[in-house]
Amino acid sequence: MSQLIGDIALRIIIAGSIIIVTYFISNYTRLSLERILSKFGASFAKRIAEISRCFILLIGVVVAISVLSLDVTAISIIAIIISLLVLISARDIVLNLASELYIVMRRPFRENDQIKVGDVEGMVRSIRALDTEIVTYDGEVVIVPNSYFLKYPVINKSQSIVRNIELKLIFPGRKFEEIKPVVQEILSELKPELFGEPEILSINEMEDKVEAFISLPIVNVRKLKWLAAKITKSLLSRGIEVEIE
Amino acid sequence: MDVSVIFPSKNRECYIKRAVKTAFKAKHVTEVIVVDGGSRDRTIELAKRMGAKVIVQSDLTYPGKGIAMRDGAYLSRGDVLVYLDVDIRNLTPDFVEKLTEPIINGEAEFVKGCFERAAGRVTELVAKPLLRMFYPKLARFKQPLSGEIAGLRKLFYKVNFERGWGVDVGLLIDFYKLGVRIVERDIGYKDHDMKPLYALTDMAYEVATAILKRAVKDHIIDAQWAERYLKDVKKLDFGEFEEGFA
Amino acid sequence: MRTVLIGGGSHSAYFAINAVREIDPYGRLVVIEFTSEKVDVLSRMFPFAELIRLDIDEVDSYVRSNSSIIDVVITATESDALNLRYCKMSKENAIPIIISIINNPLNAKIFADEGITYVINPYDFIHRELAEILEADVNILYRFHKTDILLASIKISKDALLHYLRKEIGKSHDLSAIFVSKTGEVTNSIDKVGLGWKAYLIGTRLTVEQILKNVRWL
Repeated sequence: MSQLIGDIALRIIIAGSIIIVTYFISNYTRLSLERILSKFGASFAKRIAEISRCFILLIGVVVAISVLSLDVTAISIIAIIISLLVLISARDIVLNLASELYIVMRRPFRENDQIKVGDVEGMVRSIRALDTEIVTYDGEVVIVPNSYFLKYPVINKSQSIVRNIELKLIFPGRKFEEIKPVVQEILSELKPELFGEPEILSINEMEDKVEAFISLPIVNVRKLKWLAAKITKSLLSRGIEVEIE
Repeated sequence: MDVSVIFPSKNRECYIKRAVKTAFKAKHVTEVIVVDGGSRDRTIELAKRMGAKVIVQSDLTYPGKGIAMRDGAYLSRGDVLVYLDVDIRNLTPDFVEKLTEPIINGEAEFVKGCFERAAGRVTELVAKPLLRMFYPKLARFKQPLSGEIAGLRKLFYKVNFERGWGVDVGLLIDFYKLGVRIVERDIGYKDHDMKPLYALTDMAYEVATAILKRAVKDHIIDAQWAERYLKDVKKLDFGEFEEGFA
Repeated sequence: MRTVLIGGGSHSAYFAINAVREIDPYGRLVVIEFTSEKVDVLSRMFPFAELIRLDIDEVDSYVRSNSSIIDVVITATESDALNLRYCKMSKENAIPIIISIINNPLNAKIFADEGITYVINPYDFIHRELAEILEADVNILYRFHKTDILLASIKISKDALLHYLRKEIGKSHDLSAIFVSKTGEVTNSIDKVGLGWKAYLIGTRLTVEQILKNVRWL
C-alpha cells in the first residue's frame, strides 16, 4: 500500500516537474521568438510566439499525462478529431493566417504602400492577422481577407511617391484655338497641388467637340476627385462646359 | 467621461506591471500611458506587455518630470487625465477613482491628491512658506507638491509645464490663476519611498524657482512689496539695508 | 503637392521647411503652430508658407477634414508624444506620406512599432560622423528609406580582408565600390588597392550587411 502511494506520489512529482520545466521552456521560447521575429512587426511576432508557447505547453501536458499513466489514447483521438473539425470549418481562418505569414515575411507590400490586387486598388492602411485594410481612391475602407493575396497577383505601385493620372477633358462645341490656352492656364493653377509638371498629352478637335488628354502627377490619389471638381469649377467660371473622364 | 492614467517612470520594472494592471481596473479608465525617462531595465517592455501606451520623454535632461507629464498629456485621448507615481506600493484602483470622482460629478476641474504620510521636507520648509507669502489662497493645500493629480485634459493644454520638480506646484498656481475649480482629496495612505536628504536640494531649488518665477511674472514681488513685508518681520541685522530698499 | 508641417517653431522644423521648399518650390506648404506669437514670427521667416494657428485638438480635425487633399504630413513638434499622436491620426486618415522628425532617438523603435514608416532621427549623424572622422574600421553611412540600399565604409587593414572583398565585389551583381587611399587617391578598381585603403560599398542591404558581418569575423 505504502509502495503504491509512494509510486503515485513519485509520478505526481515527475508530472509536476515536467509541467514546470515545460512552462519555463515555453516562456523562454516565446520571448526568444518575439525578439527574433520582431523585425517583421511587433503584433505578428507576439502572435507567432504565443502560438508556439501554447504548442509547447500542450506537448508538456500530454507528456505529463502519460507519466501519470493515464490513458491518453482516448484523449488524443478526441483531440485529433476536434482539431480536424476546427481546421475544416475554419479553413478560411487558417488560410488567412497563413497568408499573413506570407505577407509579413515575403513583403509583397507594406503598410502605406499603394497596391492593386484583383479589383481593389488603394493604400494599405494596416496589415492584420486575418485581413488587410485598404483605403481606396474614393476614400472607402475595404477589408480584404489575407487569403485574397494568395489568389490574385499583387501590383505594388509604390516605388515612386508620384502617380501620373491621365484625364480626358471633353469640350462640346468648342474649337482647338480657344481650348488650348485655357487648358494651359488651368494646369498652371493646379500646379501647387501637384508634384511636378502637369502635361498636355494631346488636344484633338473633332466635328462637334474638342478632346484634351492631360497627365497630372499626384501623390494623394484621393485628390483626383477634388482636382476634377476644381478643373470643372475653373472652366465654368470662364463660361466653358466640360466633361471629365 | 474617459480617463487616461499617466505614469512618468524610469527604471521601475519592479513596479510597472502591477501599476498598469491596477490602473486599468479603475472605473472609466480607457488608457494607461507610461512616459519613460530613458530606462535601462525592462520598464518599457513590461509596460507594453500590460497594454500601456509607451513613449520615451522627448528630452532626457534630469530630472525632466515636467517633460514626462507634458508628453503624457499630449499623447492621451481621455477627457480626464490622472497622474500617479508608478512606485506606490499600495496602489489600488481606489486612488484613481478618488481623484477622478469630483471631476466626473462636476464638482471640480482639477484635483490635488493628499495622503497620509510623514510631512514632506520640501513641502513644509520651502513650498508652503513661499505659497503663504505669494499665493496665500493656495497655502490651504496640505500637499501642494503632490504628484497625484487629476484634471480635464483641455486644461493641461492651456498651461506651460515646468521641466523639472517644480511642475506640480507650477500647475497648481497656473490653474488657480486661470480660475479653475480646484479641490484637494484625501486618497488615503501612500506607501512610497521618500527621497534621501541629499537628493532634496535640487528639488527644493526647482520648487522655489517655479513659485518665485510666477510671483515675479504676476508682479507680486517688487521692491516696494519687499520693503513692506520686511518691516513686519522682527528686526534682523540688515546692516546697510536698515535704511530700507532703494 | 500639399504638405502640412505640424510644429513649425522647432529647430528641426526650420530645416524641414526649407528642405520642402527646395524640393517642391511650387507646392503648397501649410505650417501649423499652437501659439499666435510663433505663427507671427514664422510668417515673417517663411513668407511662402501658409501659417495656421490651431489648438492641439484642432489639428486632428484639420487633418481629418482635409485628408483627401493632403499629400504629406510632417510632424516636427518639440514633443515626441505629440508627433506620435499626429502620425497615428494621419495614418488613420490615410495620408499617403507621413514623416516624423523625432526629438529623442530612443523613440525611433516605438514609432516604427506603431507603423510609422518614415522616422527621421536627427542624432543618427553623430555616430557616423564620429566614426568617419575617427576612422572606425566599419561604418554604416546611410540606409536609404525607400529602397533597400545600404552605404557603408570598411577600412582595409588586413590581407584577408582585401582578399575577401576582391572575391565579393567580383561575384556580386548588386554591389559596387570605390576605394580611397590614405593620400586621397580614388579608384574604382580593387586591383590597385592595398592595405590602409578605405572601401566605400553601396549595394542591397542584405549583401552589404552580410559583408559587414563577415568582416567583423576576419
